[in-house]
This record gives sequence, structure tokens and C-alpha cells, in this order.
Amino acid sequence: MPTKRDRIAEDTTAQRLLNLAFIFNTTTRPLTTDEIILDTDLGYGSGNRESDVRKFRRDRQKLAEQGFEIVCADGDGDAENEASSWVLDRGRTFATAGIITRDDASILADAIDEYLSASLTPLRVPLTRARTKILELVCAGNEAGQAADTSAPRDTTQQTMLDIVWLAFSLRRKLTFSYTNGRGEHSRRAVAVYGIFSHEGATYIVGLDDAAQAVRTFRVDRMDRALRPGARYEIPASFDIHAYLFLPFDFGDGEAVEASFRFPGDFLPENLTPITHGRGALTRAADGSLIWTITVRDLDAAAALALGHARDGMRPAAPAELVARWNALIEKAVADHVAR
Amino acid sequence: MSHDSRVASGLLLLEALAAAPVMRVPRERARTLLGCSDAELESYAALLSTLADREGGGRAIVEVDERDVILQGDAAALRPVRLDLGESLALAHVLGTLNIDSAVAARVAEALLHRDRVGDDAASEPLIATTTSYGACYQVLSEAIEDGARCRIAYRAHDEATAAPRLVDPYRIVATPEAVYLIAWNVEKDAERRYRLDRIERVELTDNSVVPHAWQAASPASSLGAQGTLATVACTADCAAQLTWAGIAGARPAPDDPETTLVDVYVGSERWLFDEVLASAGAVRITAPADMVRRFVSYAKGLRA
Repeated sequence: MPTKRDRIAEDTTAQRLLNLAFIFNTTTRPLTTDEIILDTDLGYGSGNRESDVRKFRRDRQKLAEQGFEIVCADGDGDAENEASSWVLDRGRTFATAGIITRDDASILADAIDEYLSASLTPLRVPLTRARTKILELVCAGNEAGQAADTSAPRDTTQQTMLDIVWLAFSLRRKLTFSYTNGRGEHSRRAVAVYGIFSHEGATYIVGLDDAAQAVRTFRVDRMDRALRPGARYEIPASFDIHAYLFLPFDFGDGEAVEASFRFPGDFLPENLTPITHGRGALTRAADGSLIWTITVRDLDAAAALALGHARDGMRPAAPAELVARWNALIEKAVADHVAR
Repeated sequence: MSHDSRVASGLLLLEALAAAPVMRVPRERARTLLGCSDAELESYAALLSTLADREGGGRAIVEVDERDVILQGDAAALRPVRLDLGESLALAHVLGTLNIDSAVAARVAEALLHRDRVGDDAASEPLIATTTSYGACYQVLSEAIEDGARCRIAYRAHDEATAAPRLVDPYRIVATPEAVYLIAWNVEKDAERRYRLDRIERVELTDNSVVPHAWQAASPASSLGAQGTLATVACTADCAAQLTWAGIAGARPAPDDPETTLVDVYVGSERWLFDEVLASAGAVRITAPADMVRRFVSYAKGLRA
């Protein structure tokens, strides 16, 4: 039985793709479709022209996903006849040296290290690669190869699942996995992952769930037994993950109402993110205070959220029912403490 | 492992070799970069050594000796490829989350991000998010730590209505799942302190350098235990089990009511505890010390709208 090591060296698909990249990187002239698809050494030349044309098209797409862009040199990117010729689009493919400074690279490497040290994250692989490229671009030397210094706790099982989630998301391939929800119920899910967010150390995916035929949120540490990424999908252009960063007042049977809260005007909007999660609208009132407006389903939970940040000057502004719930919670707390 | 992953790793290794001095990368560094074993690294070298351009005569020769992975000749030298879309999304998310300077973000976009992202706001990312806040001052604090510069920060403590100045020697930034902190020496108090980044409103670097301190870099729980005030709250056992407060020192059944659990907790800020109790909607009640209960009632009444 071949070992994993052998499978790498004998992976003819990887070999064909890498060779295609190698040839287009070294050649000084455009290569025609026929020069590629008739080349048996390159891994084409099956004798079925249409099949080889399709294979070449798929290979270009695969390399483009890796950032390696082979484009038609004849002006019309869709032309694919024997006369078409192809070149590596070096401007789109290669990073541009001389723009990022050494200070920039240092800032970016530190920022990535900082981010990766916070908790396990699906961004480990892409950020480690980004860090390496930043340093390669600026410090052609040993620094470039230095691995990110992250001190996040290591849980290899969990990190493996996070890496699988990232792979499916980055390739836009459906992810199939076993899931145990908060009530302990097990199910098999196939999800087109639209977005990823982290909250208090846990990672969540948001995507179109085949079973529900609706966008759902799943917690990654409740997922296991993921299969290889499946069918391709597109992420709707209007999708914004911030709409799915849940707040305590999202869950309730009540009718959705628009509520607003007031903050002191000297608050930096960036510093309100832990409260607002970047959702709703933040505007400045005539008196300089900040007004946060957002849709609420549970007014009691909304009033409780505001009370949880009362020391920072957060106050309910509207509707009147929200203010009434705020007062009711205060009266209850006072009564609980005075009566005893 | 997919073909795509192997292609990505192969390209990554060629880029790293081309960027390295005399095109040699230590084996360990190469393994870390590819996330592979020693045997797999040798197999990647074998895979890359099959690459050849029949027309031009060029071929890749990648060797692995006892210490290094070596690229022979220039034929397979690969300039750094731009980040792919996924890597670009991830980096843009970090730029935005850490509020990295927009000029730096713009240079990154121009030089390195996938071309489909150039022209966008480089730090605007609608597909990845986190609720962890690094505040508005991460970058300047990071630079101050790097440079060893004493800083004046404007900090909004839990018990203070507005931000107040602190003169600090910054030491390091520590992220926890709940929040990100600056560990620094408060020069006026001559003591180590933790400052939540999302409560720092302004940072100014002074002309002075930091001086050596006896750093403890204590956890929030240790800091609260050493400096906080001990309070006791009452709640149900289920509620007590869900409390995630850093300063919890212990829990026990109430002597006169087995349905109630008493939780001892060190708090650095009374107002923080008061807000937690108010937000619990009656689930948590302060029982001791008595004067804290009185202050809570007064505080709560003052919040009536």
C-alpha cells in the first residue's frame, strides 16, 4: 500500500498542475492551446481533444484559485481554439516588491501573531501563509521563513476540524459533517459555508443548510466526521456575516421592533464593537451622543443588555416600552435587595 | 490531502526557496511552512524535481540534505505569488479587526492581496468576523512595546464615567477569548496593571523609555484575587454553574437554603458587578458585604429613566 509520502510524489494531478505553472513561469512566449493539450509529458495528450481542452480549462481554474493566473493572450479570454495562445498574467499573479516597507511587514507579522495567539481559529493556515509571503516580499532572508510565534492552546482535533472548515470555505465547496446541537440531537448536515465568525473563543459557520434550505449557524466544536468538500457553490453578493453575530435580544417570540440606545458622545465607535458586534446603525445625535439603532425581538433581553453596560453610560432611548422594561428590571433588582 | 493542497504546498515551497539566501531553507522551517512531516517534505522535493520545460530545457531540481532543502539553479525560482482569495480575506479581516493604519492596509492591497480585492477598502471584510475587540489603539501600542516607549493612555475604567490619563510602561498584549488586554506598569501607582484594549481611547508615546519592572503578567483571576474586593452573590446552582466571571473564588450551598448557591467573587470594579446583577434580571443577588448591597441599591435607583 502506498504511503502518504509516496502519494505526494506520485500525485499526477498535482504534478500536471505544478508543471503547467512551471512552464508558464519560465516561457518567454505565449503557448497555444495545442502546444499544451497535445503534450503527453505534461499530462495531456489523451487522444480525446475535447477532453483535454476541458482538462486544460479546469487546470487553469485550479491554478487561478492558487493565485496563478493563466490568461488568453489573444484578447478574448473565452477563446479556446487551437489558435488560442496563453500567457501567465504576471501583474495579477505576482506580488509587487517595493511597496510594503519593512516597518509595514513588522506591523503585519506582529498583528497576525497577535490574532493567532488569541484562540484556535480556522484562519491559522491562510494567515500563516500570508505572514510568510509578507516577509518573503520584504526581507529576502531567514526572517521570511520564521514561523508565526503563536501561543494559543493546541487542540489538534479541534484545529483539524477548523482547517477543514477553512478549506471548504476557501474553495467554495459544500461541507458535509455530523452535528450535535445544543440539545444533544445528532444530525448529518451539508452546508455551503457563506461566512465564519468567532465569539468568546468559539468558531461558528453561517451557511446554506441543505436540510433546512435556509441559512443556519453551526458551532464548529459541535461538528465532527467531516467528509471531503463537495459540490461548488456561490456566496450571495449581499451576504454580510455581521448580520449573524447574535445578540441576546435576537431570540424571542415577540414581534421585531426597532430599538435605539444612547451612549456618551466621547465613546470611540471602535470601542463599542464588543456591545454592538458591528450590527445595526450608529449615528450621532444633535447633542453629540451616539445612537445605536437595531432590530430587537426580546425587549427584556435588550433592556438587560443595556443594564449590563450602564456604567459606560448606555441607556435605552426608544421605544417607550424598552424604557419601561429597563425601569421594571431596576425595580425588581432594588426590591430583591431591599426586602432581605 | 487534496491535489489542491499539494499544489499550494509545492508553490509555497518554491517561493520560499527562491526568497531564501542561496536558495536554501532549513528543513524544520520548510516542514513548519508546509505543515508536513520530514518524509512528506522529501516527497514534495521529489514531486517538484519532476517539473521540466522540454522546449526551454529548464527543470526544477530540489534536494534535501541533512539540514536544508535546496533549490538548484534559477529555472524554478518563483517570485512571491499574490495571496489567493481566501488568504486575502483572512488578512483583510485581521487588518480590519486590529484597526491597522489605512495607509499600511492600502499598500498591502496594492502589493499583495488578490487582484480582485484591489480597489476595495482593504480592511472591509463581510465574510469573516469576530466579536473580540482590539479597540482603536492596537497598532500604536504594539509599536510602543516594540520600541520600548513609555506611554500616556486615556483609559475608561469600569468605575469611571470618562477616560482618565495613566502613565504606563507597556509590556505586552494578551488576548483571551473574552477580551484583549495591555499588560503595563502604571508608573504613578508603581504596580502592574491590565487594561482592556477596547477601553483605551487614546495613546501618546512619550520621549521616555520604559524601565525594567518585576513583571508578573498575572491572569485576570490572579490580578483580581490580589487587588479586588471580595463580594458574595446568591443564585441557583444552575445559574452559578454558568457564571464565567474571572474573579470567582468559590461556591457553596447557602446554609439556610439548599436551593441557593453562594458564590464568592473578587471584583475590581463594584459598578461592573452591579451591572452584571442588574443584567441578570433577578437571577443574581448581592448578599455581602452589607455596605456594598446598600451602594448597589443606591446605584440602581440612580439609573431609573
